[in-house]
Amino acid sequence: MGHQIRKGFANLMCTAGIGARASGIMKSAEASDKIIAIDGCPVNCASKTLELAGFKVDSHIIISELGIKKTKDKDLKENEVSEALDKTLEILQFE
Amino acid sequence: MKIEILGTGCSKCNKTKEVIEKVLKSTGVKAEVVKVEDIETILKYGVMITPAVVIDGDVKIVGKVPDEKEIKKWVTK
Repeated sequence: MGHQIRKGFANLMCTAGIGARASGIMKSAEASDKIIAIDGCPVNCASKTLELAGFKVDSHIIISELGIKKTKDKDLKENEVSEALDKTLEILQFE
Repeated sequence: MKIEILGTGCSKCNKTKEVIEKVLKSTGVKAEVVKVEDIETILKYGVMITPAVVIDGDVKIVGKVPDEKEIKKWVTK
């Protein structure tokens, strides 16, 4: 879901803000036409946080399934990030 | 009471200000009405879509012009 995502697609919002019930983030989510949950791994904290707050998740992306493994390595490889972003945009275009 | 209207100058933002001022006048409620056009300040509230209305720090509505009934409820509570 605050920052304009690269390539001008949608708005990026913080799911921790949904968990905190931050009024601006909650109301912005309510005003959204479509909600896309982006989870890092299959624990699905982002989508579950949204659902627990009463939102319907329209599309769900799990980044670890797109080539970025969940490890303790903090140095993300630029090519992997860009590949995951491309795959995400591709998935969303077909939904 | 402080009422902030968040928006970068769109027509819906101006309409929101008009409706709020009308309700304040009809109810006699005294409030400070401020228009916030600075995008960084808007984002600090977590607001992604404008217009938005913030009353004493609490975001009440995002993305649409509130109706008079809603505003009345917020300001007379």
